[in-house]
Amino acid sequence: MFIRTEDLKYTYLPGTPYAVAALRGVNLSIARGSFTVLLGSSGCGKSTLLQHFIGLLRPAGGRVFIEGEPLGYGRRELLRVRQKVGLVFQEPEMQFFAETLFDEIAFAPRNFGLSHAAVKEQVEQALKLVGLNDPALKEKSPFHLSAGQQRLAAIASVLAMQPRALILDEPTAGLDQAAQDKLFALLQKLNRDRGITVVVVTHRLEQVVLMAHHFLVMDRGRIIMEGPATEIFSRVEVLSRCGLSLPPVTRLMHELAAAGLPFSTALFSIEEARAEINNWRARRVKR
Amino acid sequence: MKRSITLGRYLPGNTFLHRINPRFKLLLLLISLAILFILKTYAGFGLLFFFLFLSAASARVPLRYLAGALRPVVYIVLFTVIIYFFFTKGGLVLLRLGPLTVEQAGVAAGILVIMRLVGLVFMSMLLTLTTTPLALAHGLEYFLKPLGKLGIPAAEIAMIMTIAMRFIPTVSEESQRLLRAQMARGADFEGGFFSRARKFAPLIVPLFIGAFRRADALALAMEARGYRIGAARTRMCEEPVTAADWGALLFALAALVAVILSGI
Repeated sequence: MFIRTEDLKYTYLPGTPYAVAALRGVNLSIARGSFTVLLGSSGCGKSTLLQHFIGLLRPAGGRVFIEGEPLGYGRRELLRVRQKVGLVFQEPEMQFFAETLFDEIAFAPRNFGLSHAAVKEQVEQALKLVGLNDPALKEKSPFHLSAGQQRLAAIASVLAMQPRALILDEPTAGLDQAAQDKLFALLQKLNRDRGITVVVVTHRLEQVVLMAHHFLVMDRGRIIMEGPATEIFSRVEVLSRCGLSLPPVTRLMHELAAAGLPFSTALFSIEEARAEINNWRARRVKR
Repeated sequence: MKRSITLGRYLPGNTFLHRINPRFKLLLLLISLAILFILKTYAGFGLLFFFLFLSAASARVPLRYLAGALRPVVYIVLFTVIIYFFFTKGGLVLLRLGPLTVEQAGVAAGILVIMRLVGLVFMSMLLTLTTTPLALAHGLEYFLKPLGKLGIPAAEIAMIMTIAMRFIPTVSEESQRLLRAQMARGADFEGGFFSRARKFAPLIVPLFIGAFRRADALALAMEARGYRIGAARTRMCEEPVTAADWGALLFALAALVAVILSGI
């Protein structure tokens, strides 16, 4: 297991009238090299949970384990974990501060005290991974990139630490369809080709359902369901109770099945659905 | 980082003190401050603090909030006390430290100053803990309005104050978020003041950029909804003046007169 939590609890502003229990005992395991999607309606504690993985928030109860070891909160231990596990915040381009793209991406590797040459090497690699390796871009201000490029640059700024796990909080928010597709393709490439453990919070189910191995469903500070897509998206009533919906294709199949047609509902891609419908038509013609 | 609750932040409630009209609350604060600076006997201060604690209890303000409010002023209080103890002379010599002496008059004056400082903090805390920033701005606007005749844009000043207060929690949350986001990229904000100051660019730059972006968006949104400088404005929620407001004001005025006449 790469990341594991045990009865994790967290309350914002404890002891005041503003106290909110954000995590109420979270137990989860994220396997090494897996592609995990964390689902849940807004305000259910997803972002709070992610911040616990790298010790940005300290739990009020319970523990976090990274590669089997309990997470320590000393300065050095935290730095080590943050190099191992990269966290990309929501709208990460809002953190930009450097004058050039190069300096922005170099921020993290420099913080970890790498040599000049190593920093350069890791920045180049990160930019190449996200496809921003045009040498003209490097000296450009990160603020002058397009919205899609800014998002990619922000992800590169985390990848430049060469983390073994990448955690992303709604990475496609505010991007157009083309940029979203590009981003998911990048995540799949990182997971499949580089073996990076990916954990992503997203609402773009139709894209992610085909690449994720594991789903976690969160509701009001707890994990209430987990498993592969076939399992999660068969339990429509639980999902709708948490304010979640099905991927579009799966929803169509559910509706067709409900109308009395003999279709499997555990289908997630347009191709699968098309094959299922064509099969049924062929059988009908024969009869 | 330790506690992100801002000192003196409004505590929601619906007690007598919460319900008093903000204009009247500002007047009450003014009168209470006058009383605080007129009082000169321990009995007088005892009575005043008794009323302050009574008000706090009636507004369900936990005592630790009032005590916590003293923390930032503790150094000012200590400094003032030392100055008074050693440099106000008169009466019996209580303590001798080499060439320095602590005399009776100094101790008396020092204690008086402590009482006033603590009273000042408690009173302003009671105001901000029981009044929303918005209501406070409305109250101030009311008193600034006559200045409009002198060409001072009272409504606009109040609008600026309201917007500024509205965005304090937003900017504070934003800075927390940025702090954590940069820490996720290995930034280390621990260490001494000077090593920290150098590391502030990754916080300050995005914070300012965000503030300008928000200001632009807000200006646009206000104009889109017809905001014009100098236009007469009405309010969605009027704050009515009740008999209780007048009662509280009269009580405070009576107390002021009593303090002046009795000389306690």
